[in-house]
Amino acid sequence: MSPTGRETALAGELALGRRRGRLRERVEPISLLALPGTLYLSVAFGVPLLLLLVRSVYGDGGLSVASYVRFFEDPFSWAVIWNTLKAALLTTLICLLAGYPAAFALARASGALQALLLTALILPLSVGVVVKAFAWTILLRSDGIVNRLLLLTGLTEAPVRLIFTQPGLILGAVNVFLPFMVLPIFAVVKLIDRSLLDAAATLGASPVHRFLHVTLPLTMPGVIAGVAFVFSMSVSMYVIPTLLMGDRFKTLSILIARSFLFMRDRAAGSTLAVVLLLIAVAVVVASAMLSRRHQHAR
Amino acid sequence: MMLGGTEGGPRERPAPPASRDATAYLEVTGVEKQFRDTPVIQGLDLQVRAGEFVCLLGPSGCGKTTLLRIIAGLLPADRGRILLEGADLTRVPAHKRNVGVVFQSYALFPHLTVAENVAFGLKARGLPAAEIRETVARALALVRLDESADRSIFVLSGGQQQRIAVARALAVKPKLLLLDEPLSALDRKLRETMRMELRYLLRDLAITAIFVTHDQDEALVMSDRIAVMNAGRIEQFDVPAAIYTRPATPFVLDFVGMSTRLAGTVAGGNGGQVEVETALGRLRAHGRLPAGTRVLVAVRPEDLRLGPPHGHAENAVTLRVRDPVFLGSKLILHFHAPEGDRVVAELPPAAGHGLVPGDGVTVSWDVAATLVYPTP
Repeated sequence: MSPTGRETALAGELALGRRRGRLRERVEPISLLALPGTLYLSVAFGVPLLLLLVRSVYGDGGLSVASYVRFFEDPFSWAVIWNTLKAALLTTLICLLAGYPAAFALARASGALQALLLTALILPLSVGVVVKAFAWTILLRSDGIVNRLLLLTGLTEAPVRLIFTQPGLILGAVNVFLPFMVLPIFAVVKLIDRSLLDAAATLGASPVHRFLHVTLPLTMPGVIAGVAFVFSMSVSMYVIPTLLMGDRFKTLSILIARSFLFMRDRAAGSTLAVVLLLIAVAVVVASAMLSRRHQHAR
Repeated sequence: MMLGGTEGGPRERPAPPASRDATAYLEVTGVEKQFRDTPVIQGLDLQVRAGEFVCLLGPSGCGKTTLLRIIAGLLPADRGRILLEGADLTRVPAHKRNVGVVFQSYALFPHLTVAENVAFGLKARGLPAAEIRETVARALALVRLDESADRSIFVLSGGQQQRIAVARALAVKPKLLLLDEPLSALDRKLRETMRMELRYLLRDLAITAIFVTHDQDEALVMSDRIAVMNAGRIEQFDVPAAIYTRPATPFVLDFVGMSTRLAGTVAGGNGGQVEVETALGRLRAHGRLPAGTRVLVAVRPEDLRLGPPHGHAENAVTLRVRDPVFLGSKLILHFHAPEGDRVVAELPPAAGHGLVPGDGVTVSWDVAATLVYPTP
């Protein structure tokens, strides 16, 4: 090998070494622990998702956005999107309003009581959505316990129609998704140093000022996580509206299922799925950005 | 009960403060606090004058932090009253007391910058933005952190965070500043610098402050008066020199500084003096106690002197050296003492030159420097 050749090879090795070094600097060894999970998700979730995406734009023997055009031109589609968003937003809002104080109560509860409350919160998750939604259909029937109580207390004269109504749907959805709001907020509240609130008080901050300027900003990361969880799950819920609303109420999930299972219209189903996915992704990305901003503020 | 060394001692001692102070700025009266069934504060009185820097000194669990939190309004007292400038604060919530607190953990707001932390109390009071900006700048300049105004509190060192906490508490011009072990999280060297800095700062501002610490050096160096606390009570409240030279109780004697301690029984007395029989012989001290009283005789280490007594006004014992410990500017001599007793002397290094363990020496001290406490 000529001297220059050797030098070039050496330079190449050095460059490679440097590149490796840089790579090592960029990639923390500990992040390799995420590799199995990443691999699993890419194969079991990423690949089918990609197929779905392809199928939504690849129909009738070529690339086309015809199915999207058809979807967005139809006013019915917008009504469905609105239905879906409304149910998800209402569910998320009610979960937040009910879950935020609950998370505080949980975080401030003493050892044994806290363990009990946490179990009460988490254990029902193992019951499964189908069972819970079905239970709600029984509770909300015209001769169900809710209506009987209403009649008994004289709040109403005749049974109120609850099942197959939107309030009934929201009630059931909140019941199923509430733990996913409470838990992330609880985790954040538990970490708040209570002397911060004492400090705020001694600086002259009223209870309301303390809540708005100390507690709320410090719990924002938990709120953002909870909202992202509940919204992304309730925007795509299928079992709950199917059982509590039946065919009368059309959401994206119900249309997706119908397209694939009954209509055998894969292009339409894939299109709907992509639209739903984009809505969910938008919310998750937005909340991730918000939470990053809060991290930076810290 | 303080019995020894009150009259005609060699030291000039300031008169003890009157038990009820007509000029009290802060007045704590009969405060009691229990946690579950454990009394933490027991019938406590404390009077602080305007502009005074008072230390609450005591071991952990003596109730000093609890008392601080009661004064701040962060904890309700079971009984008793808190008066500040004559106004009854007992039922006033913390945010309406205008009593500033510097917390042990500093309790800086993690979601706010340095300047925003200092501005917090001013914003809570709804002051105009221009005034807030000006006050924050002044407060930060006071603790020499004006350069760091827009930084996150996480990039600051412990000492800087401590100064931010002080600046934040001072920015709202509190009527009273409470400091809960604000130096305990700092390393030794920095702690000693910060002691003086904090003392000068608060003195220059003429602010009335109460400082909680378990560190006797900190208390002696920083405060105008020290309240030594034990088991929810104040054992002694006096100027640092008096706390050291005339400890009111065996607890104060033990908690502040070292001392020679000898157990004994009063054998007799006359003319304001008692004679105490100890394992090392008869010793005399100022005081009046009936014969037969079991007592503790104590002397501060620097009051001991090597050599025979000068005349009748001194006590003397003969002992064997156990261990000379050289500490640079001084020499600490430990002596062999009877079981349960302790004899320790602090001397200029030259005075103990050539002493080795086992040497027999005579140790003398002034009768007036001898403290005597009845023991159960």
